[in-house]
Amino acid sequence: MKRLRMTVLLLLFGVGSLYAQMVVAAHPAFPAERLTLVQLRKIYLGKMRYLGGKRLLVINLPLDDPLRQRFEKRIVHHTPAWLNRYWLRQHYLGHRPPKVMSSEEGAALLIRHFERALGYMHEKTARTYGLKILFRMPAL
Amino acid sequence: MKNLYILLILILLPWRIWAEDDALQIGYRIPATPLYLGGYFSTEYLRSPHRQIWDIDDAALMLYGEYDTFDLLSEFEIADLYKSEHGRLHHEQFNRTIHIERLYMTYYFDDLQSLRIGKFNTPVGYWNLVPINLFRETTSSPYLATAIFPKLTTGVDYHRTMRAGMLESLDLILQKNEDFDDTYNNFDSDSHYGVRFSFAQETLLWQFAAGTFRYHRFAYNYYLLGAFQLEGERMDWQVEAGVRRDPRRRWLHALYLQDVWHLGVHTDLVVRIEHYREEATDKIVMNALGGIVFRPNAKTALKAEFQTGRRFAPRTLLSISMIF
Repeated sequence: MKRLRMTVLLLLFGVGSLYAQMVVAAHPAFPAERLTLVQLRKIYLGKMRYLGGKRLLVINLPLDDPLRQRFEKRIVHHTPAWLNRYWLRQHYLGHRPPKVMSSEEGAALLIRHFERALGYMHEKTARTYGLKILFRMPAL
Repeated sequence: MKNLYILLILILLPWRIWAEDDALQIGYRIPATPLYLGGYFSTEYLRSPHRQIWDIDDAALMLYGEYDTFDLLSEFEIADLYKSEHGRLHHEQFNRTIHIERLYMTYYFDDLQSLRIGKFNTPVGYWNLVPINLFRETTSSPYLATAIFPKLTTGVDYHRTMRAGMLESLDLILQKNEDFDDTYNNFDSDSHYGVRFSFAQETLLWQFAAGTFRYHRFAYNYYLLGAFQLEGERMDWQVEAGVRRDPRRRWLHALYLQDVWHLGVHTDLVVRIEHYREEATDKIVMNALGGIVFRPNAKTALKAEFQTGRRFAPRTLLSISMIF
């Protein structure tokens, strides 16, 4: 009985951590199956704006969202202040920053409607909305 | 007129400094179009032993947008909107002429290749790509930025992004016509051919460029440029070095090294040293600059700098710049 309880707990913990994992997800018809960390960094800095001949629609979460803070620190590798300055320079060059959605559910819904859209979210959200997972954030 | 100028600053400054700091809400989207409106403004005060200048240096309006496989950008500017000089000369001027600073369209062939047509900042060096006061670390520009290659090109730029390796991109620049509007260009060129290779490895960037251009229909020039940029948590480094062979077959060189220390979230300390052969005097000039930049928010910069050196009259520059 004790062993069974232990197994259930381990399974629950495993499933829980899988669902808490952060991923980058896109529409099922997105023109790539996987993205590398370097590609993602380029996409989120607007240095790579096309894929498979389609202009990408890149989704961000609000500035104070913990997911965004984690994503910018670990994937984009820059501080919010640096990114502010960077996007102001891009504004001068005629480029727009990623589109901001107020929640990851909102981001998932938008991605669900646009073949060329992608964004970061919890794996659970991506699965709920039937999105294609392009990248899994490496564990700490 | 001076009072009007001060009043303008007093009105604009608090509005910008205490505005909400979210750089992602930049520009104004024109409803039902993919177009955005934006602009910038900067004003300077220069003091040197023989003169003092108050200047509303830049007032510019930009209109840009992205649609499908096209980008469009236009920028119209009034330079020296108001200028007041005191010292050996006393004069005041008010300029209302609007000039085309940039006007171009970019077509993206695929994920990696694009072609830009129109008038654009020559994609050579780091300083030249974002030449407006707000983005620069100092109010003044290094001599190199104005003496080695044409700042603006009216022609085409083929850009190729590389998939892998340290070579990040390649640019081929071609101009075989007059400038749209030569007001802002350092050379009134009617022909320009250039190539640039850009490399990147994490936060380290470097590039090499070479080219030839002609002005006044007969004055042929050749240039070579190398540039290096390293961004760190506490300090940024930038070095650019270039040579130009002018129509008199002289090799004119210019280089600068710039360090920026991030003293805090809003404050940077800047040091720059320059060495160049000045075209007009044919003399070697060395100068050093120390400055401080205060950015109360990402869209506003207040700067103060002092510059002095050999064959260089000491001067102090103050400026305020904003973008919207």
